[in-house]
Amino acid sequence: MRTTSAKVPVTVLTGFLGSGKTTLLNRILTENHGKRIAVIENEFGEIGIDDALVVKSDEEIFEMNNGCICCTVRGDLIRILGNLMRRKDKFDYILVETTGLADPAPVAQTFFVDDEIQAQLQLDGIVTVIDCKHVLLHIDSSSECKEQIAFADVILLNKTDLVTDDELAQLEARIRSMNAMAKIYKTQNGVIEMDKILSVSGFDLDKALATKPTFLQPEYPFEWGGIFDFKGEHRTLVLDEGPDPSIDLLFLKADKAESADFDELAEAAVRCFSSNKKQIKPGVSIERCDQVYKLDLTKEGGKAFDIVLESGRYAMFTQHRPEEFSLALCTTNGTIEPLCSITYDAGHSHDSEVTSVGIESDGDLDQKKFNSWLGDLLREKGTDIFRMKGILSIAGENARFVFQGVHMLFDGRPDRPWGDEPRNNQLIFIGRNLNRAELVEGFNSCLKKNRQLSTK
Amino acid sequence: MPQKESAIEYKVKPLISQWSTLACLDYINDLSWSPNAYHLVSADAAGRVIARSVLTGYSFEDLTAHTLGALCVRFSPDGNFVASAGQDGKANIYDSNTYAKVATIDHGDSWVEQIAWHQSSRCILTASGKTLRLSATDGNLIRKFEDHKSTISDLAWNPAAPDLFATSNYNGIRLWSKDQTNHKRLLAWKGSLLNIAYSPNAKVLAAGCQDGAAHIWLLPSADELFMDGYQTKVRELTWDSSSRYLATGGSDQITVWDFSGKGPSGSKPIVFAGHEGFVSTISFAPKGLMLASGGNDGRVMVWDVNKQDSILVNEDEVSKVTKLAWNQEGTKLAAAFASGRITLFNLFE
Repeated sequence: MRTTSAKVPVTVLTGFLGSGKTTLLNRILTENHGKRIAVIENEFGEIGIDDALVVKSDEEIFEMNNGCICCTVRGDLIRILGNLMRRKDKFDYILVETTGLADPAPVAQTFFVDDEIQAQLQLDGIVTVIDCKHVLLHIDSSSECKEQIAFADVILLNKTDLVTDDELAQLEARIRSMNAMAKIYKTQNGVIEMDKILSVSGFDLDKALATKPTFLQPEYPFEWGGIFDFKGEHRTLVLDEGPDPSIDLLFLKADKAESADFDELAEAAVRCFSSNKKQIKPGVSIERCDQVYKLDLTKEGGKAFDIVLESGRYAMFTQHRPEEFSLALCTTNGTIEPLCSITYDAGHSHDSEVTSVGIESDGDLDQKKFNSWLGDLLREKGTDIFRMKGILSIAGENARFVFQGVHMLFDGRPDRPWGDEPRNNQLIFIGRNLNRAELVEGFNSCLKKNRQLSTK
Repeated sequence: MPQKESAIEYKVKPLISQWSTLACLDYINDLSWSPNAYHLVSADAAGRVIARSVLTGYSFEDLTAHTLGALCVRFSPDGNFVASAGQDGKANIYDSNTYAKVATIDHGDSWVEQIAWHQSSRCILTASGKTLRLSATDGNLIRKFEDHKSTISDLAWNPAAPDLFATSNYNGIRLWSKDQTNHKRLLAWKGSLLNIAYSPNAKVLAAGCQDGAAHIWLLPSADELFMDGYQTKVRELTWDSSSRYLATGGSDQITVWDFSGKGPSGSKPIVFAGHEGFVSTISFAPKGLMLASGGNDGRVMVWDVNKQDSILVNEDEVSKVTKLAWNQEGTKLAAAFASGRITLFNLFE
């Protein structure tokens, strides 16, 4: 017989020196939240609260010989947390403050690897404090800075008073592009409601993806869309030489579309772009809606494709911007101009190194295929995948399958039944040099039937 | 000294008394018998060191020794002193006749997690973080040993050479002489070593690893044996007095390796299964082949390695067994629990 008691939550506080970590920590300790908190402070810590239980600790990173090359844990935490849990006056909460240059992975992995820790404590979340003004000095050069952002469940953009609104907006956009999962709050002097940073359930499988990841702007497989009215006349698509040997292009019926409806059309277009593309050479006609054509542009000089579509309103989506290829829709009377058009951000302004890739898809997964795909992925790319989470619809299973991971460490189990909820799959990967197309394709190949798939 | 083993089997008298601390019950981190087995001292997570009379069970000394938790307590081999250490960064030395504090060894901020008396009872090693000190019983520092790159996880005097000792930490074991500031030898092993156990003849040094393995050095050659595949980290190691058997935890079973003949490599270990959940502590009796084990399930068991069978199963407690300690004669066994209770088993009449 064993008594089971609720696990004590642990929040990890990261952030560069000077970001405001200590101020925040002092604030948490003095705030009237009724929680009994113990703090494990880094060796340089300077908590100024006398009656708080503060344990100083040298960060000791241990590599594990468990065949997982990136598996490191914090040896000091295993010792200290294990010991703290023996006290009868148990704590309601434990905070771990890392040094400024710490990689959060070993802290997080400690909670996956050590049985004793796992049995008694629950990693609640990683909170990263960012100095809005000075972060730009490190964000490009420091992998630790990027890792702290990428690992976070909560990001505090602190010291907002030191930057302009524009600078803040830019910084937020950049950080959002790196970590689509984290909640971002703007703060001054670390002033924030406690429930925004404590008990956020960032590593709780029951609440995996309870809040949908926020993708700043979806990365579409096309850069341009326009709405056209086709009347009776004969239409030809003409292109000149451009920067690429081919361009993907799609027409969708858009009978009542106005500019405001681009979102819905774009979603439909994304689904079409993930299906098979039809490669055609100049001279061949474009005859169908909902079919992505890959126009072969290798022939020198101008190229023309007839459009054989009945009259009506259409949306056209192109892989690249039309002006790069001098693309135009011509009739005998001249060119047809779009009623409205939209240009999509191709993601060039995003952090190229650390990104989030989200996959959302209907359809059921072949469990065997998925296991083998994810296994291979983690073996090969585990060092570059910082965090992942997902809810999966496994073929033949009534229950949702939820999972999460840190690097190569994976934790997953069947969750509640789907019930009336529509079955689908949602995954998010946050990591370095992630290949979006490869991930999507890999995931796609694990679906039982090739259903519609969209990416964000 | 135990009589014939047949006597053990039938005359087990579990539980001559069962004690619990009076004021409040706290997780007991360590237990130590006085060499004459009259006293038993405990160190608990609330910072107290409590001394009791074994005959009456009466707690006659309650020392609020360490302001945070008390991590270890140890009688000196001659029985004249008791040393304790804790999370307040201090090791205290008490006179065991009066329980008056005679010295304090101050390690500053960091927890003192390991202590070990020299066989002479004239000096003691105390370790905290990367610092290791040898101090006299009056608390005066004799030597500091400062070669450690990470926290010292365990230390042990060499049973065959009284002035030599070993320390373990991440990436290896260091062998030292108490008379030299720098270590004499490094037995490197990339991995987190949690504890060490010398065989009583000092020919084998065993270490438990965080990654579910036991790493073993045969001395003096330092040939290595590596036993892996444990379910969890291996913190439980104990040798029988003849140096033949090494018992290990790291699982819900106890795995006993036989070092006789060609040794354990390639041989099948003896396995004792009787706990539900991980084994939390094991201890060979100082004489004979009785092996005591305690588990997260609160069960205390005593095994006869010769017969490969259990001779005692006690399920009175449900909280984790934190420490088992035999008296020097191997006739009494004290078991401490996470609940703060101590149970005493009298194994021979």
